[in-house]
Amino acid sequence: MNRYIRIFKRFFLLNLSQFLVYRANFVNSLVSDVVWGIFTIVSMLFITTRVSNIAGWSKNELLLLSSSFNMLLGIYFFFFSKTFWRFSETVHFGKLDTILLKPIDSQFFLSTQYSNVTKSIRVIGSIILNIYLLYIMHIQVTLMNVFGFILLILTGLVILYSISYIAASLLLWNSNLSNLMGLVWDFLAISRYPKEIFQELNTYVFLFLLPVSLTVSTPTKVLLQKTVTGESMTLILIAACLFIIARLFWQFALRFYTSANI
Amino acid sequence: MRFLHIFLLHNQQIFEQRTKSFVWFLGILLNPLIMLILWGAAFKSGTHQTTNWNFSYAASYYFLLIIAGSLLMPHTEEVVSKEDIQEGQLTKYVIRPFPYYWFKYFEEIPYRLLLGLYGLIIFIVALIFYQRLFIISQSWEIIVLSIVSSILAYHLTFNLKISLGLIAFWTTDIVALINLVEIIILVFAGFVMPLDLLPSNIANLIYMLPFPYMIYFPVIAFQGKLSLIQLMQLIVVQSGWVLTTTLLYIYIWNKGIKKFTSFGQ
Repeated sequence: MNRYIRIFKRFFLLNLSQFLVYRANFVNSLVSDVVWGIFTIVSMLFITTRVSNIAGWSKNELLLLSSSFNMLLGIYFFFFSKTFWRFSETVHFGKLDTILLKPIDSQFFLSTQYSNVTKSIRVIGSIILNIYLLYIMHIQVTLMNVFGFILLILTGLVILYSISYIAASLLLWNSNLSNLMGLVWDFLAISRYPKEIFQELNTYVFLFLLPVSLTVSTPTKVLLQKTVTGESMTLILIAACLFIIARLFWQFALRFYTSANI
Repeated sequence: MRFLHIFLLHNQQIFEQRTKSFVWFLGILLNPLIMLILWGAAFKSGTHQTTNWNFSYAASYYFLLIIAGSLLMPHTEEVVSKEDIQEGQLTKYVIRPFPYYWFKYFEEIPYRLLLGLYGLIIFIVALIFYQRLFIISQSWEIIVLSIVSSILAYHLTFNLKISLGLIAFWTTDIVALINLVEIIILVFAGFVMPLDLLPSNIANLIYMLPFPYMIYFPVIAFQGKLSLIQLMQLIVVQSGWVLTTTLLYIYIWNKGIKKFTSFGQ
């Protein structure tokens, strides 16, 4: 365990130093993240100029949901965006060979070797916006609410990671699909909308979308001090199951990997 | 004839990568569908429906948006900036006796046609099952003029995107700029919601920019929300923007190609 923590720290410092060396790229990336973060909020603002209520969520609650989505996505992209973006390249050009030969768990190595420091700006911005929105809604948030929110956001992170890893494992069969992760991220963006809007759909469609739709809705409801015991338990259970499935599927997919190296 | 050969060559290439193209299409399909589900929930929550905005209009709008997003939205800027300029592949285009612009134009068309075909299939399937929901113009004059508007919209978008990609002549990393323009297009071209639903002062400001003429106006033209006169005015404005962006491209290309250097062993 200590070994893995040391390796993770080393990866993080390497990524950080790389960002600081290429300062123009650092600034570019930062600007890009700020703009995407603002877009999420502005698009919800535009929608709420026409509607005051969607599926029981008021305007400010929807903005809080969008802000919490930014936070979750910021954390997810911080740790995993570069990894998954380069997954296709890693498999296609045979770079996976060197990773598999190392005396370290391949899933751990692939998941932690890159981090994207600039994504933290989305997290910081979201925290500030969340505090502001809770203030104007006159919601007195307790420490338990904050703890519950953080716990469920991290649970949501596990779900996003697991779904992404399952999709990335598919690249072992078709490494040309370099745009697959883009599709997965578009799919994960469903989590910025309230879970209730999907309940009217066909049961199978709703169940398919349920894991993603719960990831941000449930922690946001904790902040809004709504009762979510059932949803929280469901979220935690889904996260555990998906993580195990992602792990097992990766192990299964590796059996079909053939090296590209000569 | 030579450009037909370029088109056919790239057509072959696209059909080799059918799965990749389909994944691109799924990405285009997802957002409008989710927006439609969101509006469906909003209408059920008691949002005031008007003759201009109800579930039928929303369904038509977003399904037409799927076709428009597939057919009219090239992504040339990424290839131009990264592969051609930064990786030096521009050299192979520059030494050929064909203008670079038309090369990229005919390279992009097969992608658009294939993705547009996927979009059309989805639209037709939805039309068969939910015919009563859809609001499309029944006038053949409107349809013909809407097609003209769509062709102009494609040219406008292509010109802007290729000009954007050429900025890589001056900078090593234009990812932030590409992301910024993408977000502007998402909002101002009507991908989030129809622009006439925005507050009128904001909408009027947006109409002064080229972005609504890329996707939003062609879509509402097909819905029959524009009269014949308005459509003709739209075509005139779009032609003006196409001319402006063409001149912009020529200017950036002439300035930028002097800065381009490529080397190899």
